[in-house]
Amino acid sequence: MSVRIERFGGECCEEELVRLSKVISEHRIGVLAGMGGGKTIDTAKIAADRAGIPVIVVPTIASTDAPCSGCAVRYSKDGVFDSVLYQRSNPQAVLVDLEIIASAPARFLVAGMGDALSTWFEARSCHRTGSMNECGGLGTVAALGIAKLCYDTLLADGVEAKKANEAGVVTPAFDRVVEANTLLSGLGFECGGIASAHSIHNGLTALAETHPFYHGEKVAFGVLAGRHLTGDPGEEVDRVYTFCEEVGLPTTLSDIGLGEAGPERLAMAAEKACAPGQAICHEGGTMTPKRVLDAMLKADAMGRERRHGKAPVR
Amino acid sequence: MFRKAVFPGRYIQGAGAIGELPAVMDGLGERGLVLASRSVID
Repeated sequence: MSVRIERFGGECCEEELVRLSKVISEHRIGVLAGMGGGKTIDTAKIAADRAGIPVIVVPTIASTDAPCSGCAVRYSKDGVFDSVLYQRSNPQAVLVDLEIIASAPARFLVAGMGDALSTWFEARSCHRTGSMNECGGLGTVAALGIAKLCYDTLLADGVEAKKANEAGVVTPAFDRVVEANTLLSGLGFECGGIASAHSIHNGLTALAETHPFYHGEKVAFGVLAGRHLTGDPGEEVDRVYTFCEEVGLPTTLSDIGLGEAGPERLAMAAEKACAPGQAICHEGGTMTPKRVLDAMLKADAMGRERRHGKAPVR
Repeated sequence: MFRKAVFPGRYIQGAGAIGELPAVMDGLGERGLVLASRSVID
């Protein structure tokens, strides 16, 4: 077979998609492989779907659970969020080279753990409330089991996996966590459903201070805030905080750039988290911006208290 | 409402898994295009 290599333009935007469409058409391409980070992969997914050809995903970092999924995020050419696009099918193949992933900075793997940390809690909420998953149906027993396995794997191997990544080596723990971040979380979120953690993440993106932080880092804070929304048992909340502290995921607002953000700005994020169409409605009960803001502040206070012994007044 | 699930067609993970790419591509089409990020090309 003949293979052409094309350099990604840097943004998953309509302009780049149109450019790729021309390349695919002009060279009568029959299969497309996307190799790189999330935006490269998403561009390949959308371009292949539009052309009606198979796509192969080759992630070079394990920072999100997007590689296995059929959805992709499109932005403007300036990097502003535009929309989530659902493809007609999931990637035909996903190739994850552990040596490549291990050579990337450990912060990517940790961010991926933050994204994967949400999977069990969100799938469980959707299961409890009979909410729709990301495939337009109810979650399956398999999806719920996979989501739980994802969570258990993170807790068992997350710390060791991070150490391995920092040393640039592939170990069994690293291997398992890459699978949790990529396959288990990917199947778990798409087939199990999403809920408050991702809605709170979406709300946080309204605040420019959070933009330097990765998706999974903000989702991790959404997981913590979600625990205060749903009234989870204290031991479960403690377990999640401990995990985040051990691997270096955010546990306070200052960890995601919001240490100086006043109540009005935080309220903007809470408002956006509760906007129509947000998956926060998959949690039980009525979710209001006030409840979400309170949960974010409680999550922050607990994070600071655990770190400093007591929570200084904001 | 029905229960629904979707999956990727194939998942391959391991040290050196990228070596599988030519064979996987070959099985899916005659003319391939690799869209690679700048870091991959560099």
